Amino acid sequence: MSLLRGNPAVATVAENLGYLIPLGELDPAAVIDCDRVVKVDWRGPDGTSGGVFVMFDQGLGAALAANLLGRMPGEEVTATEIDETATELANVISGNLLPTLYGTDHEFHLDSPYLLPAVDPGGRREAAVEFLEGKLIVSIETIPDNSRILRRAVVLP
Amino acid sequence: MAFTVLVVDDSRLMREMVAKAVSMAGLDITAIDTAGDGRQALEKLRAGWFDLVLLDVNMPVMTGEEFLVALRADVALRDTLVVVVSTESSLPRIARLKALGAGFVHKPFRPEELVAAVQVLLKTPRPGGQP
Repeated sequence: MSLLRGNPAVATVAENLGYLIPLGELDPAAVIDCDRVVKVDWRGPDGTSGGVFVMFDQGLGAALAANLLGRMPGEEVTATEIDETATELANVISGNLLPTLYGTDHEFHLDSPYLLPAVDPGGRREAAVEFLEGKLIVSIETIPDNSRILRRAVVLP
Repeated sequence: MAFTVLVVDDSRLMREMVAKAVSMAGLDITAIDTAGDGRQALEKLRAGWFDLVLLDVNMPVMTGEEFLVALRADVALRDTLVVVVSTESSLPRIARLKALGAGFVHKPFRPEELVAAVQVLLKTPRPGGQP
């Protein structure tokens, strides 16, 4: 079950950071034409650790880069620019996601985000959002040892 | 008050975005420089004057929190205004950062939130006794 179902956290971050226009939540099992996958590894309390995957399609990546870099409509963005903005979005989403999942009394250290091959990395789907510009999915690595703090997660309506 | 600003973030893109936001925020900015981690930031602060540091937390080499501890321990630098600009949401860590005299703005942020955080700091007594 997705703990973020009905929670606007991911859409709000993408909207506020990347000026993307959210249209609504997708089924977390949604399939997208994956163009970029970014992973952010994290370490938490009591030796817990894991990763957040942020994946999105080509339309969203291009729009995100254009918006963040202040490009004019029709102006091209390079693949490197899309990579750079994708990793930044993943970083901010991860920072906002972990306390939403595990609570604000825990301290997490986030490593620098990095790109993975553009295929669905699996993991537990937590959020899938459709924007005017494209689709974005967030999933997390599920590590059984994290159950100590996962148990404290707030189950959202 | 006119500010010279040091933006400290390991992401080049985020350094540019924060620098752009602060220049649009309505503060009187005379110069903006950047650093990629806490250690670089300390070197820049020891080499030149900055009124305001905008600081990320999760960085390689020296984190934002480690930087703040080192800054407050340095007699020459301890009164420097610092606003943490971060995705950090851990309440204990945010409390520690604030106890070190830093303002806090959560990413993603609006420029006016930066201004508000700076204005609060300007009214707060600093470790060295400056208003």
